[in-house]
Amino acid sequence: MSDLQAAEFRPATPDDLPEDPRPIVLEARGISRHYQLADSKLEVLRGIDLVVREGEMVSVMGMSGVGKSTLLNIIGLLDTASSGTVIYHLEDGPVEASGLNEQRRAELRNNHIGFVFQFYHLLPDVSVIDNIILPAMIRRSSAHFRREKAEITDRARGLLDRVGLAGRETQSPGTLSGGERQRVAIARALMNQPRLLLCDEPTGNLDARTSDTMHKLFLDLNERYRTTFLFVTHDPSLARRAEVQKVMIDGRFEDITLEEAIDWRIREDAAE
Amino acid sequence: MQYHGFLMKRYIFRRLIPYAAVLAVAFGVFSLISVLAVMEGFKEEMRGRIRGSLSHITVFSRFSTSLIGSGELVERLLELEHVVAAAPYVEGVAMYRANSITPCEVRGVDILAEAEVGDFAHYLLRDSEIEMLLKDDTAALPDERDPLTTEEITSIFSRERRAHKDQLNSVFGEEREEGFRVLPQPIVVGIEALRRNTRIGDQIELQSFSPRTLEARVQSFIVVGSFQTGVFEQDQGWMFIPLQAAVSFFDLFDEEELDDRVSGVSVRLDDYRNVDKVRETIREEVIPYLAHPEVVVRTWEDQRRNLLRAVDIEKRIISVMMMLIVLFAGVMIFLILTLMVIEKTRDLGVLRSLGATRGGVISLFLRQGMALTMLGIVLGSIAGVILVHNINPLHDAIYRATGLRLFPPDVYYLAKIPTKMRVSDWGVVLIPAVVFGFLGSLIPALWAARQDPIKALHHE
Ligand SMILES: Nc1ncnc2c1ncn2[C@@H]1O[C@H](COP(=O)(O)OP(=O)(O)OP(=O)(O)O)[C@@H](O)[C@H]1O
Ligand SMILES: [Mg+2]
Repeated sequence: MSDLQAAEFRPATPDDLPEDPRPIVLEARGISRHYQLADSKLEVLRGIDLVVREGEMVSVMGMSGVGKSTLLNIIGLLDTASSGTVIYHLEDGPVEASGLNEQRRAELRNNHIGFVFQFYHLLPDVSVIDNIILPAMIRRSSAHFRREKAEITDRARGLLDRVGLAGRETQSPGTLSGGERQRVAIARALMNQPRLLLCDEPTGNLDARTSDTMHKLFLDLNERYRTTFLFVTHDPSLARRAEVQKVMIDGRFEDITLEEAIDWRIREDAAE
Repeated sequence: MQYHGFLMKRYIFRRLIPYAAVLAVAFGVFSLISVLAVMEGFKEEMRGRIRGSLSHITVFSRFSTSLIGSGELVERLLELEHVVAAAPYVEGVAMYRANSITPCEVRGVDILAEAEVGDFAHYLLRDSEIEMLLKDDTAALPDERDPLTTEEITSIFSRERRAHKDQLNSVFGEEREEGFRVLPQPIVVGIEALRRNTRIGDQIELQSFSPRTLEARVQSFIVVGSFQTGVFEQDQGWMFIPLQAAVSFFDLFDEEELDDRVSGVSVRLDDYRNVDKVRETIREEVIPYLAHPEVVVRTWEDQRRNLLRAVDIEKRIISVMMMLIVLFAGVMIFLILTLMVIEKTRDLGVLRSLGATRGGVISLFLRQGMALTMLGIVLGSIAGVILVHNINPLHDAIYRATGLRLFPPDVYYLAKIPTKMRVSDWGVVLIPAVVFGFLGSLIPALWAARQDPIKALHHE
């Protein structure tokens, strides 16, 4: 497939438009990651380039074990790439992640990155509202927190309302349904107004109907609050709704459309 | 950071198990405080008694009972600063026959001078007190009692008293048949000897050897009185006789020197704290100028070093044993926090992903461990102080309720359990508690911080 043909095939994405006016939030260049096993080297990521702009929704699809979570962890600064760079464009200039110490990486995670996991990962001993407030607590000293407690609580209430769970503040996470827990997790991820939300299979554990309402929530957040999303998913209907759709094959983003990838997978499945 | 206190409340104070660690710390601290206070009180009491029954300083002959020129030595010592009294004494070992043959330590003293150099007047007993102590083995003298007056002391040792042996006997209700030709010398025996072996008015026979001639000596004495120093060994084995009686019993008159040989000279100071200073002065300014300078200077602590050290070592051993409880508490904190790290591994992954640093995680667990430790220390200290201050009423209550005496007064003649809290003992309690608590928290805290957040998030 020639470059020319590919260009005809593909709908225009913001990546292709150098004049896209929206500022860049995240830039990943040549990310690769290998694991040293007992007697071999397992190459998981083999040079990933990715640019995410403010207000964009980017989806990553790919077969299980292809390295999607690994990529998300590297971008989320929980893991480090074997080579390549991750650059965050913040208000006061770009920051290159590989040059940062643990303290600064933690700060970046706290202030600018929000995580949403497949298994929600709420703290079970902590009420819904306190789970949402947690990122604000991590950032502040006790005195600082006490001073701003009222605003912080207001903001958490607002977020709970935004994800459609107003009035559930004091409930324990254990008493919530899966979909509700994921909403709380999203609200928590939004608490510190991150530049980017990283979601690893956010609907992977939910039934189709709940997934669908969750998709609507993502779109709604994206449209109304210009929340920037990078999500990994196995769910084509969610991936299709993203503005930018990436397909990962063998540790690289492959230049095929989502539809081609889905077709290809269906054919593979049928062949089996 | 705010989340530390917030999570701490939920992780430890809203659960039951962590309070077991608090109790363990509290119990360790409580035991240490109360045991150390009683041991220290007891030690002080012992020191006081030994100090009273021994003089502050003794200057004695390097060879057994051969100090010549004690008169001159006494004079010189009395000239020194801080010295308020000095008196010669003779001491020797003897066997005496009463019901059975028993060894004893005979102390020949100048009766009145001895009252000045030591607490002789304080531990010598009046007849009425002897009667009371003999009636009840657990009876103890009142804390505050007047020392015997000079007249009372002389009357105990007096010729009249010995002559009226019948009268002595009648005081204690016993008629003795045998008479005596020579008026025997008086002897004062310890209250324990009186309880077991002999009676007031008894004639006892002492047997020994003369340190000068090495010949066997036998002599009869009449028991005229008793004393209680509060140190069992002394109350069992010591016997006081007048100095001159001792000189003649041990045959100590030296024909060549025309002087009595004595064992040494006891010295009393104005203040016990000057003891080291005065010892040096005696060594440097008195001994070299003596006609017979073969003498040694000892403080009472030098003399009773072994006994005092035994009490000290006992205290140390018990503190170490008690520290095992505190160590155990530290281990409990370690276990509880380790279990918590395992249980909360996923939470740790979440916290790290939300922006908590490694240092923050260490701090989270350290604080929890130290909060448990501190709470335990505070509770244990309060309980310990309360017990120490109320130990005697409590002991009495237990005695009344169960008839059990945990601390029988006849063993140490203590009407009350003595206690004393020393600042250094608080250190012995608090420092190990804090150190063990800290170590018990540090290890799980470091382990928690080492968890890889990605693996932690996948932890089931
Ligand atoms: N710590 C590790 N050591 C060795 N290999 C690892 C490690 N972590 C991940 N891998 C391997 O890296 C590969 C990619 O894992 P990753 O979790 O990124 O896949 P994924 O695309 O998220 O899969 P899924 O869709 O099932 O979640 C897998 O083959 C996995 O076994
Ligand atoms: Mg994955």
